[in-house]
Amino acid sequence: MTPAVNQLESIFQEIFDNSALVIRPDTSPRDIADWDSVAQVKLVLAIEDAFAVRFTTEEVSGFHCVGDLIEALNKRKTS
Amino acid sequence: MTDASPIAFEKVEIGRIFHASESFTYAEMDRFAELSGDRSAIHTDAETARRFGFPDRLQYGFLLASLLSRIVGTNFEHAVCAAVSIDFVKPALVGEHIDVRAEVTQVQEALRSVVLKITMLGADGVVARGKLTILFLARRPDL
Repeated sequence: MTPAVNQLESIFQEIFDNSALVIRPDTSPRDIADWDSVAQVKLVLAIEDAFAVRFTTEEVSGFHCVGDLIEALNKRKTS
Repeated sequence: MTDASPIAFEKVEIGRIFHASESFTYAEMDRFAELSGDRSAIHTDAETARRFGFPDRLQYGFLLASLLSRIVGTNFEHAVCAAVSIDFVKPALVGEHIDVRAEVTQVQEALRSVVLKITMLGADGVVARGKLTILFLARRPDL
């Protein structure tokens, strides 16, 4: 697991108040019962804060699973 | 309380600070006890508060938190609270003047959301601190 994914997992654990939570690229709201629209807002805000990025409207509307978040963060690193 | 009419999401800027101040009275504490159903003696009876080493009744934390609702409702146009976290770090006494300072720390355009860093100041410094996330509602074009 890369440091970024580690950090992402910590954010998920904090938002969902579950220190045992493990995320995979295909983890989606179907896998986490509390991943609702408010949790989505909190996740995006926490990730932006932690990684010092600002996601665009297109990026945010494309966040359907953890892999989408990782991809968006990776793009920021390479751009 | 507020120095301007509510502002739209597009006008919210990082770093801007909003305030709400209040000194909740005995009567207001009593009304909150009725509304909330919390009649804990530490909030409703001065003699009980004194037995625990406080000079008077302690303010309800959630009455203080209601000032966050005031901040949102009076400063932001068509916005609602989405998430709140507050640490009550020091008790405040009935009648104590409380100033709530809410600083915009994050704006997320796609989600029309704003994060505010909350600091509540009493007579002897910080009584509570926290974070408030608000959402600006998008008007439905069909209504």
